[in-house]
Order: sequence, then C-alpha cells, then structure tokens
Amino acid sequence: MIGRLWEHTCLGSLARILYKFSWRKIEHIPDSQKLWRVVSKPQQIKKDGKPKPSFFRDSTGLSCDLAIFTSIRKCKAGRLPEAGIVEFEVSTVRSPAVGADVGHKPVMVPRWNYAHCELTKVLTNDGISVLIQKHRYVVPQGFWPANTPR
Amino acid sequence: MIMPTAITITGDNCTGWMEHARVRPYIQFYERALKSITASNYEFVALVHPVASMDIANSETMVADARDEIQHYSTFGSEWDGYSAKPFEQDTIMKADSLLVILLQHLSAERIVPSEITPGPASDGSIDIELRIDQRTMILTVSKDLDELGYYMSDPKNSKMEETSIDWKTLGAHVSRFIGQNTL
Repeated sequence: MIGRLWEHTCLGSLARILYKFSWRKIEHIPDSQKLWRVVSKPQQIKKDGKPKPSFFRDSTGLSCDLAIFTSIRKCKAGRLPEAGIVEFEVSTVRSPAVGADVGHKPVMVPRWNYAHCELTKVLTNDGISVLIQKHRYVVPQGFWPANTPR
Repeated sequence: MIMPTAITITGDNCTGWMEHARVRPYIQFYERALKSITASNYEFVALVHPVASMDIANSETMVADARDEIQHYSTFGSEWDGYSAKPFEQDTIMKADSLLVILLQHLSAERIVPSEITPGPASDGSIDIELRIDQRTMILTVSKDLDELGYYMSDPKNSKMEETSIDWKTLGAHVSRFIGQNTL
C-alpha cells in the first residue's frame, strides 16, 4: 500500500485515507512532494508579497503541511480571509543549497493536522534565500495589493 | 545611479519643485519620476545636494516604521502563525527596538540611506532586522538568547557572505563595517 501513497489515483487516495485514520507516521517523503506553509499575518511578508526571511526561520523546526494530505480549505481554516498559502518542494529543502530535510510530524494542537511536517534543521540565511526565490503562492495573499512598492 | 534629494521639472505647462520627505527608497522615486516626465515630454533636471539632512530624515522614517511594527508583535499570541509559534517576549522586542536605534545612529553618522529596513517575526519568537543597501544585505536576528545575535551579511557584487553569531559588544563594529563599505 505504501507504494501507492503518492499516486493521484483512487488507490492512492485510499492509501492516504488509511494512513490518516491510523495516524501512521510516514517515514520518507519523496522529493517530488510539495509543502505548504500559510501566511497568517501581513507582517510575515513584504509589501511586494515575497515572504520575509523570518517566515522560514524557526529554530524549533519550521512547520509546514504536506500538500497531498491537506487542502486549501483545511489550511485556511480559522485564519484571516487574506491569508495566503506558500508552496515549496521537498527537493528544494533537500538541495545542497538549503541542506535540510523534512520529517512527517502529525499534531493534535492547535488542531488535528495529519499533514503537519517539520524541517529537521535550522535553515541558514542562504538556505532561506533559496526558498524565497523558489516559493510560489498556491493561494495568493490578500494582505497587500499586487504591485505594491516595497 | 544618482539619488537626488530634490528634482526640478520644467515643461510647456509645468514648472515646479518637488520634494519627497517620506518617499522610500529614493531610487524608486527617481525611476517613477523619470518615467512620468519622459511620457509628458518634460525636461528633467536632477539636483544632487551634498547635504544629506533629508537622507537622515528618510532613515528616521524607515526606522520609526520598523519600530512601530516590532511593538505590534507584542500583540501576537501563542500559535500566531497558525502552527505552534511562540509569543514574543518583551525582552526580545526591547532588544530588537534598541537594535534599530543603534542602526539609525550608524546610518546617520555615515549619511547612508538604506533601500530597506524590514523587521520580521519568526515562529520561534525571534525577530529579524533586515537592512539592505544597494545589493548588499545584512540580517540581524534577535532571539531569546539575548546575549547573542544572529549576523548575516551578503554582498553578491563582491561574492562575499558571512553568517555567524555575534555578541552585543561587537555589534557596532559589524554594523559599521557593513554600512561603511558604502562610503567612498
């Protein structure tokens, strides 16, 4: 079943449901997977919409969600309507320029979140700048209007 | 690139004097003005003033905005980032605030106007202060470990990069070195 976990098929969906309901920890996340991190506050981003370096800084392990196990609705639940979702790839996190890894870490607080992951290493500023360069918005942030000068 | 503190515009229907007390950074203003003037067929004259009082005023405005933003971080509660973020301790906010004051002193002394002074809240309760001058970047990170600061400097033009921890005693020297590289 684990082989099907990352497939975008009916069997893949079934495998993910089984994993989720058994709250089973995923040992290895493939490079091809996407990670999401929510922009909850306007102060986390610059006025041109780019995340500030501090958006990716967390010495206790940067939180993000494994995209295939969540949805935009779940990610934005309980957050401001202007909240955006930033996406970056597992392969970018593991690239030599960033030099970190991603660990699956389902949590029950502040809410049940099976998709929750943490970066396993504190990022350097060079690593953070790579993530800033390579991020993209899955859901655009609404805190700052597009094309606002920095 | 010339960074005027004032510009004069003359044209068929327009003779005026424009000053920009709160525009940041100069370079953006300069480019915007140039585009609009070119489009209107006006003659463009940029006056470069050696006296940098307006530069200092602009740095003060940037620092004041940054200080306001940092004070706002004290209103962030637990899990403010939607995950498991910690609230900001008052000591961290005060240290970040004093860091901005130190930066302003150095900028004023060297008469340098940065293109950006950006504070940033991190989920672990630390605060970034990002300073950009031309293409060079310095990021100072104030964390709970209040005796040390994260220091990062990047100068792509000269292929220089440095990332280390510094203590408050050597902060002035690091900031001076970063800012001083811009003076001739």
